[in-house]
Amino acid sequence: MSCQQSAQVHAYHDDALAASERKVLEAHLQECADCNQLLAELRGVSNLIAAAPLAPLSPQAMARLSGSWRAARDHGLLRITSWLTAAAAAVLIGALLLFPDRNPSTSPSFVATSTGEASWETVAVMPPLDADENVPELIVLATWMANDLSHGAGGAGERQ
Amino acid sequence: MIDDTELLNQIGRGDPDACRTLLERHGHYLFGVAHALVGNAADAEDLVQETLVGVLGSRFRGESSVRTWLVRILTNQAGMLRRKPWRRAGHAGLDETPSPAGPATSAGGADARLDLATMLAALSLEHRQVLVLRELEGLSYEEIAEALHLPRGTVESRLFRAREDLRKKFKGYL
Repeated sequence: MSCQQSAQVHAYHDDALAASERKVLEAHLQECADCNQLLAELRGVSNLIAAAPLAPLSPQAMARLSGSWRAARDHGLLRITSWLTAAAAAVLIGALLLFPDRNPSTSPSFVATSTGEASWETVAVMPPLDADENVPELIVLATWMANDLSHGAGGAGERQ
Repeated sequence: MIDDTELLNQIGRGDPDACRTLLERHGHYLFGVAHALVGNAADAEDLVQETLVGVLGSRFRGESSVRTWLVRILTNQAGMLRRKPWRRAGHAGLDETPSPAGPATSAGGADARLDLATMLAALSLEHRQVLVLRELEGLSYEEIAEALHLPRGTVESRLFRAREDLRKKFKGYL
């Protein structure tokens, strides 16, 4: 094609010209046979693409895609739960580092009393009763939370 | 019938039925486009799979139809999939630009239509990406540029080159 307007014809075909440019090109198309032919062929290419059949997806491939998507979603849930676990443990460890000398007698107890008169808050976060007495409470609690949430995360993947 | 946007919301809430419905609704189309982009069924399936995973980590902002949004993710993933090392090591397909000896057709015969993968087979992946977004989804140059993270001028030049190649190659069909 000898005409220098071919790029403009492409843009015209894509309706990507400004109004003033479009007017100029439409005037040019009135007198340029090459550009007219180019425009007709570009429309032909677009029509061919629009009419072209797509490759079919087999039922087997559809089933594989469905299964792998579900697995990816479950894996994502598992990862989010793991992050939450890590975040919870980090907060507790941070609290321990910030307040290392807290007096156990003035801080809330996380262990049920010997008389079994624990409040509901105490029971809700109660760590294992066989915890080592030499390990600080917050460490015990952080470990317990991490283990407990990890169990929950494992369960998320098994539900499906 | 639940619309696509609501399906995406349900998928976000972890509804497995919504996943299945969205896949049944758009899976065939996505696979067909993926096949045209990468040139073979195995890579196309991988590409759709990566697209579905991408859906889980993306947010639909309602700026287009859900189908167009999915195709945008798909064309982007096609570029990323090609850059994966294990593919460069020897997985066929993504970098191949097979050049059919003549215009193949889906069913044969004088009036048979060209299938899309055959039409695009001679183009590079970069050219196929812009062509798919422009011709199949009707995205503007700016929208394609945004979708593929390219300058607008690059989109224009790739589209120009891709169409010129197709125009010459399939002149007999025009």
